[in-house]
Amino acid sequence: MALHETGRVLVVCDEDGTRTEIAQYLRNLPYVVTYANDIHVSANWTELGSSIVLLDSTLADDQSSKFFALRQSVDGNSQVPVIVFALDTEQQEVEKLMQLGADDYILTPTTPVLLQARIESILAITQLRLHEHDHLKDEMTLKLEHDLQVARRIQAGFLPRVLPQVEGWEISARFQPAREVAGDFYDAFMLSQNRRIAFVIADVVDKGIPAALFMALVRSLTRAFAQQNYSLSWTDVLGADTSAPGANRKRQKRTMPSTGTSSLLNAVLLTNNYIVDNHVDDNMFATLFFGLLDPSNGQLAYINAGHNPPFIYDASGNLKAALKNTGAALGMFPNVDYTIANAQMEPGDLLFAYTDGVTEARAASGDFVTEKRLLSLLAEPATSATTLLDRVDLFLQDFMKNAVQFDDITMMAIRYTHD
Amino acid sequence: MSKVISVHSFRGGTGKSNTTANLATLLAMQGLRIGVVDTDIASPGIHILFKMNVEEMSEYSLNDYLWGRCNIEQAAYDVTPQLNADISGKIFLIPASVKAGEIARVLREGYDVGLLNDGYQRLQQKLNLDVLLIDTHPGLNEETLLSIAISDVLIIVLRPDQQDYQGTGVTVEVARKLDIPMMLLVINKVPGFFDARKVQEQVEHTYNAEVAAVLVHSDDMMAMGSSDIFSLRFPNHSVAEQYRKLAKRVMEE
Repeated sequence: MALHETGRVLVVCDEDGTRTEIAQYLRNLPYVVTYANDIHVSANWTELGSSIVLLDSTLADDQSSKFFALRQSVDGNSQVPVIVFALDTEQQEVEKLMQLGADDYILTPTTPVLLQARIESILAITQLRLHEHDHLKDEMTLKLEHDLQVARRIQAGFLPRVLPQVEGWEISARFQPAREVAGDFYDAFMLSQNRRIAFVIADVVDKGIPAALFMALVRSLTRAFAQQNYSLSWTDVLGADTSAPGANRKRQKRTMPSTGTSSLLNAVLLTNNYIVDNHVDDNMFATLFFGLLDPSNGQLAYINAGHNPPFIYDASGNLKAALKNTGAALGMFPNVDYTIANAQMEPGDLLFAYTDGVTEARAASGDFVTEKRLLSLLAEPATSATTLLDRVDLFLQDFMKNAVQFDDITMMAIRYTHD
Repeated sequence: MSKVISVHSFRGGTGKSNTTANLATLLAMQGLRIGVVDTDIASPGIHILFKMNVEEMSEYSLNDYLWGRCNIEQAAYDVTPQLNADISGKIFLIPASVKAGEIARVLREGYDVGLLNDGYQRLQQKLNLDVLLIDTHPGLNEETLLSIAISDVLIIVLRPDQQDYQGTGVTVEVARKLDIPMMLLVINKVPGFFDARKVQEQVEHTYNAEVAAVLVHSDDMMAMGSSDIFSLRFPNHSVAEQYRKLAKRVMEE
């Protein structure tokens, strides 16, 4: 983009006399000169192809102010250098214009050679600056892309590298981010000295980098809090007010902790409180399903914090249960009283959990997958968790074809295999 | 469904384990199947009363169950034979480990109290227990709260001592909040020259709770030093008689 090769000079003035003077100096110089006595006509200098502007100091004060305002507001103008052209007796006017933002000045009388030397030197400096600017921009883009790649790698590290291998159970998962980084995640790990399988699927309600950062937070907190060995639900008795009416009835309502249920409650409740306490202004929230499975008998305890209900199908493809909400999405309200719900899985049963990226996936026509389509896909008996996910995966690929994927797609399938 | 009895004291050294062991023995002598869990993981000791040696315990303990190394019933030992007495029932002890490393691990990592609750239920079922006795950790912590909360009967052992009096008040308050069906106080180590009845009245008045036994300080008991079950060796002693009274009371509806 060598501007000065075009050698276009725009002269901005409002007095014919000065124009004549400038014209005299410029006459024999190798520039294409354009004259403008209306600053609005010359609003877009780059459009005119101007590589430099000569500004006459005799321009009225309000006109020169407008001139510099236009220079700032019109895209590209600020990159075109401005030289003030003035009589050597007008130093005060020159000073004013320099303060307004002119790059240099030349005082008359002068000679064409001196004027050319000044123009060339300013053009050279401008050229250098532009070059440096482009270079910085390229470097920044490269760095951003690199950072994004690293972020993607780190985020992949938040997903479990291996899913728990438990006798009698098969666990499988899929994860397809819509962009470089995602707001969805899934997790599965053992709790209570390998006595329980914990599994989580979550969807941060946003996209891109903000969602990815939040995903990292939610995933880390739930994992860490799940591994805390204390229960929140009922040590409150130490501080409870027994004089309150019905206080004693609390015993019947209070559920005694059983293996892993403290972890389940800790993970959801403490994560919610943390987000509400520290990130309420970020307006971020996440829907999350946290399941706790006893692999010895198929008993499932869970908390569903505003997430799409996972489904349990029996071996013949009958829908046995939809594991509905037991509390609000994480980060929405303080002190949510999350309750633990229970379900039973029998040998042959299959649990399918997903994020709304599945049902809201779109075909090029704009048509959504919808829950109805998903349910009919799931109703066909599957021989394994992987087969089921493959089936949904293939369907989605076919459905979306060349359409853009708008949301992250995450799925998890857990099957109680026959022993 | 078996009966769950927790034996607690707010402070240590009150005779909690001796009370638990004597109660377990007397109930087993009635032909009942008794499980005894030592949840005083930080300072275990009741296995001494049941004459269990460290080698026997090195197989499995409650700690092994908590760390997922075994099922809880695998850490249950039938200690009835070694008591050398005519016991028609059974006593199964689930001891806590006395290894420093095991104790340290509990302090360091804590454990999921839900495991205790599930473990209690599994024990009752697997060993077909009539009574599950829980020897708790002194003071109040989570596992003690859990044990108290699931109990049908809570026995609080205290000495006639100002520190015990105050601490007992805390436990009584908590037990009331937890709505325990039966709460009994056992006053232990009462000096011989005290009027036992007066002490009982005073305590009952203070806590508005039933005192089920008043155990007068006994040199014989001290001399035994927790090496045996007092009621078996001194069946005619007044302390043994009080223990029998307690055993009878806990089984009443």
